[in-house]
Amino acid sequence: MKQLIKLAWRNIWRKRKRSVIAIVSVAFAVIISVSLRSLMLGNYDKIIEAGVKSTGHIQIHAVNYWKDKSINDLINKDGELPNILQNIRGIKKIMPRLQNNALGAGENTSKGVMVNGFLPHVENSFTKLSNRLVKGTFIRDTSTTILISEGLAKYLKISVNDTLVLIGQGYHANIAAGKYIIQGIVKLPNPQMNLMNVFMPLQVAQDFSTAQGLISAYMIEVENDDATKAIKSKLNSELNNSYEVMTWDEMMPEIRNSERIDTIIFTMLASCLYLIIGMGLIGTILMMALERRKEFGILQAIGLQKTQIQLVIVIETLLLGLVGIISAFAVAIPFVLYMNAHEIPLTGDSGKSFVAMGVEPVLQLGVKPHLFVLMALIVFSIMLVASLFPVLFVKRLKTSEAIK
Amino acid sequence: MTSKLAWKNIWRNKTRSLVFIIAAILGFAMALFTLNTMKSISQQRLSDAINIQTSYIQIHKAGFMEDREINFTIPDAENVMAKVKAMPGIEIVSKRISCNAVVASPENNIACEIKGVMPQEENEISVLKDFLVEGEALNNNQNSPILVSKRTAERLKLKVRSKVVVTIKASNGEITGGSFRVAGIFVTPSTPYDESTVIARYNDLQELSRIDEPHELVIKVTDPNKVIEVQMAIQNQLTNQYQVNDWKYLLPELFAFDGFINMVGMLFTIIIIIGLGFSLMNTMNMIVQERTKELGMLRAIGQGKWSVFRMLLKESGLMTFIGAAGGIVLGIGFISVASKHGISISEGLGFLGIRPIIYPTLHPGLLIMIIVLAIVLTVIISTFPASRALAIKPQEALRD
Repeated sequence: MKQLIKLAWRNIWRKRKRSVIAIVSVAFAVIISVSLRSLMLGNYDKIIEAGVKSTGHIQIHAVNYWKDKSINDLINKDGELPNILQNIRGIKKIMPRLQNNALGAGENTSKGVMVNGFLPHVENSFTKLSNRLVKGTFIRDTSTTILISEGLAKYLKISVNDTLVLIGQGYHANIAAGKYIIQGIVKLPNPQMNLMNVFMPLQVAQDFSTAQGLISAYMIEVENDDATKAIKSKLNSELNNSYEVMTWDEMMPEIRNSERIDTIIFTMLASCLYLIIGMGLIGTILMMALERRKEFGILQAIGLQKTQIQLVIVIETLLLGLVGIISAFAVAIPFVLYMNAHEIPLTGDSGKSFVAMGVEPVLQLGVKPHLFVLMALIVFSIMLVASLFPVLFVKRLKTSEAIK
Repeated sequence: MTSKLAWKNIWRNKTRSLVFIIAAILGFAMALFTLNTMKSISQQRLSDAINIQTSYIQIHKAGFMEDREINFTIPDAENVMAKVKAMPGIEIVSKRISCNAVVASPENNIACEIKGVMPQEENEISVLKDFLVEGEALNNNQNSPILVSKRTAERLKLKVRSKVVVTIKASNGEITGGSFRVAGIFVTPSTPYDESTVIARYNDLQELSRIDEPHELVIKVTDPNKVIEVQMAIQNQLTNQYQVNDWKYLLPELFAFDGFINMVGMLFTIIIIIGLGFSLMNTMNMIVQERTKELGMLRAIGQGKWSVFRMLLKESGLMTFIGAAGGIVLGIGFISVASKHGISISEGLGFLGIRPIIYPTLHPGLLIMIIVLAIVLTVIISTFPASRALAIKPQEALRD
């Protein structure tokens, strides 16, 4: 066997140029597809991370709340729910929230805003909202002042210490209205969110919406991301059907949907590429065999089994693929790692279209080991298919004719 | 002479040539199909947005686009409209009020943009009426009508004829409210538009907001290809306090996305052709190597070295040409089948304004791009192996 591998290795380098081109073509396909997919997946990691920070891993609402987000579908903050949640394993933290829509008015302009009531000291260690502060200071649970997002501040032309007037509808058709002093301005990564969010202590929000003791959601942080689904079903079995339990991807289906369309685009590109590279390899390897007709004949004449010759061909082909994969990884692994550590900000048109999709305009590659394995498997399968033709050719070869 | 030779040479090794040609056909066909599908998605988003939301050109008071202040109305709007209407290339001009509002029903409330439109003109400018799923478009006989999206109707639990209260900040700074009745419910391909827009009659909203002039003049042109010319002509007629913009400015994200798609398409094509290039390079390499003796002979009997070089380039060019031509035919075939039956892409991309079923069409620009890139890359790639033939010395090549 060792002998055969040696033979195969030497055979590869008999036609140096041809083998180098074949290896480079394999490496090209692998490098392109790995980098591209790492880029896509890296971006989704960012989107998901930002999404989960804004919704939590799981939320519990009154049944049917999420669909309409009606201010009338609220749940009790205290009562049975917190007790049940505390007894479920894997839940790291529960965070009450009260959300409502309102019209926010500055001096001359007004804009629809989302009013978020939350407990700053509880939520901040999860959402890290205070890190996003660009002006002013962070609020406390007992503050009567508020935070607004940076885009909104710019739009309404207001800043720290100015007053924001909010008008909307409260619980059970009460009028919700209030004036609030702005204590800080936060910059949210999602550009659409950055244009429309107001944050205030839960108590203040409950007063605003006339919803004493009520919240629209319990946001849940789980200890381990992978347990999200399991904890959801546990919650479903523990809670009665006046509640709905939703995971982050159910609340933000657009993330999964756009991921799906990216997967389709990538699959199309990658299959085009591998198809073409694969055809090239099949052609090359077939030619390699056809040229060596006489040589195969002689090898048989001096006593090699057909299976041994076939084995040499298969080894040769796989070695070619292996060298291709190794050289691709030698380039791709450092590249992906480097690009994972150093993100590139996007400017110009492509940056704008990212912003429009609600994505921070930066490129950062994700490190996905399974991708490398997948690409290696694809290359090996192509190589196996490619070696099939010469193997069949040898099988049909007649020694006496071949050496003529 | 060299062409004929090149053609005959291709078929000397049928297997090798066919493998390459099939790869090229499949590569070009898939590239053409994929690119056109992506381009069609981007074009569909754009044309939906233009036809439903912005039309081709809009006029605002300078500064309105940035601040959207309720008092940034268009001075002397009637006069401006008359002036624009008299210009060539204009199909229709209409005025709109646009302000932020809270729309409330007893059940719920949402914050959104309310547009006040002239019913008759608006129906000619916007195709929104085609997207009505219930009720009817605005007309002058209704009593304070309002159009809401299905999404909004669900959130506010509204039906046709339901009453809603619209709260806005009027021009005198007071917060004021008025009640409207739902006349129609629409569903457009764009979820963000649906979630953030309600439409009322110009006069009703004018009364509520107490402004005298509109915020926005919307212009539909007769020839969409001449938008820039018309836009420039209008701007030249007006002073600097008016800002005239075309859809590229009004829909920057969609325009940018279209550019992004073009870039992705170009990259896609280059990658595919480089992939093909490897096969081509190997094939050409083998050819030169196998035929060293023969090429030497050709030189010896008096062919110039450039004529041999040309023959080899023609050989690779011809193979790529057959592959490309076949691929384009196949690709167009794919596209025409898909344009008949539609490709269902994932539901739930409404937040990007993408329809769930897409009917791809052939974009000639893409076809030209693929052909040009194919020619350029083929020449570059096959020059390397072919140039080896230049170095062949007849006496050495013929020796053994």
